[in-house]
Amino acid sequence: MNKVLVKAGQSGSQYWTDIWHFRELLYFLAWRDIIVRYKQAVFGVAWAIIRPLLTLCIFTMIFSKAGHFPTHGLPYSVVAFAGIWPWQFFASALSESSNSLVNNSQLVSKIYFPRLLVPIGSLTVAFVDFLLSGAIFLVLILYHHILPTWKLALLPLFFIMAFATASGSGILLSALNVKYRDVRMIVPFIAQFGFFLSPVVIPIESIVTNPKWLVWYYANPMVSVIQGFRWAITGRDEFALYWPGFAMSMAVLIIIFVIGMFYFRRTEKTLADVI
Amino acid sequence: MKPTMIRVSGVSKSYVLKHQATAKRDHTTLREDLSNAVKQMFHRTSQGAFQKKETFWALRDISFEVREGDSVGFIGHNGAGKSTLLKLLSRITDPTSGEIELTGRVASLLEVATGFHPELTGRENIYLKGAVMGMRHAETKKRFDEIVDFAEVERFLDTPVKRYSSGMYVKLGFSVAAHLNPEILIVDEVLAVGDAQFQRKCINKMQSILTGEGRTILFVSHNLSLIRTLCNRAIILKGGQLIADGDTETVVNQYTEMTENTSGGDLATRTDRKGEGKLRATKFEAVSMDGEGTRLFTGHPVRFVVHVNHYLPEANCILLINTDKIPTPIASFNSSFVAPQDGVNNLDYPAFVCEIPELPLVAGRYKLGIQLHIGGVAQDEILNVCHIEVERSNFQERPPTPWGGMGDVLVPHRWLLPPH
Repeated sequence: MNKVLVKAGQSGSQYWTDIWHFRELLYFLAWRDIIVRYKQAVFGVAWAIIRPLLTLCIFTMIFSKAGHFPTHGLPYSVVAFAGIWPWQFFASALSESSNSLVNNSQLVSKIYFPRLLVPIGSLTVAFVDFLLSGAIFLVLILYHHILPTWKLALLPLFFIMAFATASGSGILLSALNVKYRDVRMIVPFIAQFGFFLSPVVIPIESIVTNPKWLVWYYANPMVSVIQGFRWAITGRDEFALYWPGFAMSMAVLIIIFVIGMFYFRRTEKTLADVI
Repeated sequence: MKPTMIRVSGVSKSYVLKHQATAKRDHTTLREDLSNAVKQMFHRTSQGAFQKKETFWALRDISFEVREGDSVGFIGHNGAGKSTLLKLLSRITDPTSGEIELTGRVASLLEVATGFHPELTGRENIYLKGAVMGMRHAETKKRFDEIVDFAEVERFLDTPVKRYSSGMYVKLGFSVAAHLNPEILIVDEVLAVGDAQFQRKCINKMQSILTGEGRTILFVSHNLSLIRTLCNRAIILKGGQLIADGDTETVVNQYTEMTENTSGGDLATRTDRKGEGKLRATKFEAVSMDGEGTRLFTGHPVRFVVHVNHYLPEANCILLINTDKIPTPIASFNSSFVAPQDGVNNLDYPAFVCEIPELPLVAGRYKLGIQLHIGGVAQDEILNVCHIEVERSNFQERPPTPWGGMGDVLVPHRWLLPPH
C-alpha cells in the first residue's frame, strides 16, 4: 500500500507520481469539456470550423482589397490563414486555461487531485478545435494548388511551440485568477490586441519596418510560431525564420513557462482556501 | 496491534482574515493589492491602518492515530473544525504546521455532487467522477453495474444529471465513492439528504467496507445515534482543538453532557424570552425516573420539571419538543387540558412536573421549549431551553430501528400477522 506524507510547507515528493496516477483524469476532464461545449449547440462541433472560417473571410475581404501587403505572389487567404490558425488556438487555449481553475472551483475545493491537470486539460479543448479547423487548411491548399513541401513536416514543431506558450501563460494566469479575478478581464484584451500586435493577418514586414526593432518584436513567442506556420505551409523562404528573433522567442517562452510553473506549484496547495 | 492507517501529528491550520475599514470584499483585486503595496511603501510605520489582518486558527495542534478497521466519528458544534480536519485528511488543502501520514487510497465524500457535471448524463458522470477520485477507467468499467445497481438509477443513466432529483444525486455520488474500494473513506454529513431506505443501504455498505481488509472510515455527523451505530471510536472537536478521543459510548456521553451544560442552566437570567412576565421559568430539568440520572432512554420513564419563580394557581404550563428537521413541534404537553391521572406535586419549590411513563422518542437530539400562560395570555416563552439527547433503547420491548429517518415519535402498538 502506498504511503503519503503531507508535511506543512513542503511540496510532496509524490507529486509527479500522483500526476502519473491521475493521468486518466486529464483525458476525462478534456473529454468532459469537449462534450459540454457543444452539448446544446445546434451546429455542434461545426463551430470549431465556422469561427476561424468567418475570421478568415472577413479579413480576406478587407485586406485583399485595402491592404496590399506583400504576399510574395501567394493568395492573401493562405497567408492570413497561416496566421489565424495558430492564433485562434492560442487565444482560445489561453482563455480556457486561465479560467479553468475558477470554473472548476467546485472540484478544487472538495476533492484532491493534482491541480495542474485542470489548466492542462482545458488546453486540449482548444487543441481539438485546432485539429478540426485544419480542414480549412486542406481546402485552401487544394483550392490554390499549393503543393506541400518537406517543410510541412516541421509544422508540428511550431505547434508545440504555440502549445508551450499557451500552457505556460495559461498555468500562470489560472493560478493568478484564483486570487485576482482581474485576470478574467485582462485575458480578452490579450486575445484581442495580440491579434493585431502579432503578425496574424498582417505580415511582419508591414508591421516592423525598421530591422533594428525586429529582434524585440520577436519577444512575443507567437511571432515565431506564426512565421513558422507560414514558412512550413507555403514552403517559401521569404517567410524564413529570423534566427536571432527565434532565439528571443524561445528565451521569453522558457521564462514564462518557468514562472508559470513556479507560481502554480507554490500556490497550488492552498488554492482551495482562496478559490 | 493493527497497523496505523492515519497518523496526524501536531497539525494546525490557520486562515488569515482580512478586515478592511471601508468595505468587505470576498476577492481581492490586483488594484487593491498593488495600491496597498504602494501605500505601505510610503507608510511603513502605519501598515496596519489599511488592512487589519487577523489569524484565525481553525485547527490547533491536533494529534491522533487511526488504525486499520477503526471507524471514527467526529463530533462537535458547527465551526469546531471538523470539516477543516477532513479537508486536510483528504489533501484538499495543506496544514499550516504539522504532518499527516496516510496509508492507502483516500476517497472523500465531502459533498456528494462533487465531480458531477450537470450537462453530462448519469453514465458519463460515473466515469468522470471515478476519474476525479483517482479510479482507472478499467476499474470503473468493471464496477459500473454494481454502482448503477446500488444507486438505483438504471432508468436515468442517459439523462443529464441536471434533471436528477437531489436524492438521485446523492445516491449516485455515494455509490461511486463507496465502490472505489478505498482504504480510507471520509464521509461528511452527506447522508442526511437521501431517503431512509437509502440511508440504511449506505450504512450497511459502510459497515461492509469496514469488514474488508485494511479499511478505515472517518465520519462526520450531527446525528449521534448514527455515530453510535457506525463508529467504534469518536473524537470531539471544540474551537479547533481535540478535547476527547476514545470509545464511542464514553465520548458521545461526554459530548451530550457538554452540550447540556452550555444550552440549559439557569433560566432566570435568559434574555431569549417573550411574554408578559407575571410568571417566569427559572430552571428546567429532564431526569430519568429509573435511576439513570440525566441520561434519557427511549421507552424509559422520564420526568420533566419546570421550576417557576412563584406559585400562581391559575397558570398553566406547556412543554414543546422540537427536532431540527421541521419547524413545528413534534409533541407538546399542556397542563390546562386535564385528565384523571393528573395530580399535585409536593415539592418544596413552585414547579410544574410532567411525567412520561415511556419516553416515546427515538434516539437522537431534541430541542425543548417552555410556555407559561395565565388565562390564555403568554407570560413566559422560551423556545430554545436546551437540547436533550435520547439514547437508544427498546420501546415497550420492541427493539429500535438501526437507522434514522423512520420518524421520531413512537406509538404504542401491536401487530397481528396473517396466519401461516
